[in-house]
Amino acid sequence: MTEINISFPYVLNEQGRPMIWFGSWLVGEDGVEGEWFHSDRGSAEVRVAAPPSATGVRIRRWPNDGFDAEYADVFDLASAGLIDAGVLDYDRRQRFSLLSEQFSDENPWGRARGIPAPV
Amino acid sequence: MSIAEKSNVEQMSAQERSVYFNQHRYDTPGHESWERVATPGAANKYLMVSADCHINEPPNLWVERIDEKYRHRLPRIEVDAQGVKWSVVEGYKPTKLRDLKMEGEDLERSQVGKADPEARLKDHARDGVDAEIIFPNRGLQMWATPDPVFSNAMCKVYNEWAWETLGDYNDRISAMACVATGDIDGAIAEMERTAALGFRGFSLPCKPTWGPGLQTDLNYNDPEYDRLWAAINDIGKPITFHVSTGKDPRGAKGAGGAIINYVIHSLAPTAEPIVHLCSSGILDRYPNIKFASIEAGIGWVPWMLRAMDEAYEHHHFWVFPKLSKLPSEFWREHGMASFQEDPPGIDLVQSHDLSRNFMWANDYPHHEGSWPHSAAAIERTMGNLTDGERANILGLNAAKLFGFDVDKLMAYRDQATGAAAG
Repeated sequence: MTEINISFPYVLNEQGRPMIWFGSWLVGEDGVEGEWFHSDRGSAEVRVAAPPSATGVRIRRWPNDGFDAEYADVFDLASAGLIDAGVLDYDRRQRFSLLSEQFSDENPWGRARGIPAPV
Repeated sequence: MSIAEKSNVEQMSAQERSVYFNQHRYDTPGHESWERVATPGAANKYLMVSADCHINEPPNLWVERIDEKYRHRLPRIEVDAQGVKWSVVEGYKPTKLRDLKMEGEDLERSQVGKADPEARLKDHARDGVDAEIIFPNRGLQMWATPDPVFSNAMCKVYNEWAWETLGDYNDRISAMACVATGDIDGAIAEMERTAALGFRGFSLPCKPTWGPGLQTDLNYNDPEYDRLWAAINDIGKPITFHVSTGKDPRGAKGAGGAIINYVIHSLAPTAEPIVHLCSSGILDRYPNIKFASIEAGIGWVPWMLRAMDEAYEHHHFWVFPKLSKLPSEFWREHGMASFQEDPPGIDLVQSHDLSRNFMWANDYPHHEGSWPHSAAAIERTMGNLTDGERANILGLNAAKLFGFDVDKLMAYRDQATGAAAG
């Protein structure tokens, strides 16, 4: 059983409140999520056993309480070591992005990953 | 100086723009000759029920509580190949995140509206509000998906949280239970569950099928919906249709987009479910249903009433079913409409006999609302009404529709007034 260690740092969000952090398991090959194991404001050191079905871990953060969460996925849990949630790259396209590869301002409805297309 | 005359708005700082664009909120002709007033804390203040307020849900509410099979579908921020960040919600066109800098009272409005009943009561006392009907804030996205079962799962999360948070204050802070009517059986089950808890009414999307609207979509006049109307009729609690809950309100982009989207794609579509109810025989079959349009304003109501009757009479050869009353009569007996500040609508109250059908709201804490300057807004627009008409519109109509105990609310009001005086 793989045990992972995640460090959630104390960071203030845009409202000046401690950032909300959220951790959940990726359990499939399509970015599907399973159970979550951490959801709180402020710092935390989390040690948790990955379920056998886990293919990765998804870390969400809310830099602004008024917007939805940014996220970063981490794979290869066996060699992940200590995951520092504060240094993950939330500013790059993620593997299971809901934006299709063809997404652009002119083609905003390109979708993927089993989500029903809008009518 | 008018906005049109001001040439250097673009050069103003955020603080200057906040002061400049909020000046109008303080304008008032006063309330001389009014028997009762809207002034917070005044002993002769009207009973004021805001029929449309919003609550800021915890950001991690849905991701924590949703059934895990839906978690990866919840709204989130995505980064495109160029590093640009987009808010992605299933039923909305992705929206580019903007750095929105607020200052002054614009900033204050963005910071209130919390899920803290005591803080809300203080904010309402500051604006003269005695009771409120609450709709979601970020939760307005719950209907933005073509999958109504997923939508209902999100609604259930919101409803459970809302009751946990506000249930003890339901005598004056009352959330509407949200349901996704595209999932008819799920919606009925959730309405029965939440009605039993004590919710005063329900928030239904303006269309059961999310999207721009096709003739082939299921809609509220479809016979399949009779079982929904039968359930609502039996439950006996009102239904509401809040703006922006049937389709993506961001249908336009480019110059004027913010205004086009507000008027055409957010407010105007709220008339659709109202006309469905009044014209399709639903209210003949289910006469216990009461309903309200929320946040869509009122100036359009007299036009809608006339247009419905005109179609019923002039197009009689196309109209079915024949109704026991004119569509406008159904609306007058069963319908209400909420507004924040709608001078043309108020001007039509007396000439169209609508003082028993309109409900004032401050839309706290939204910027299109009047918080915390509602008294000035009311004085600006309601001077031509009688004292009784103002009393109806400011609170009694909403109290009646949503079943508030007026004596209890007046006791709270007197208690607060006494405390302020003491």
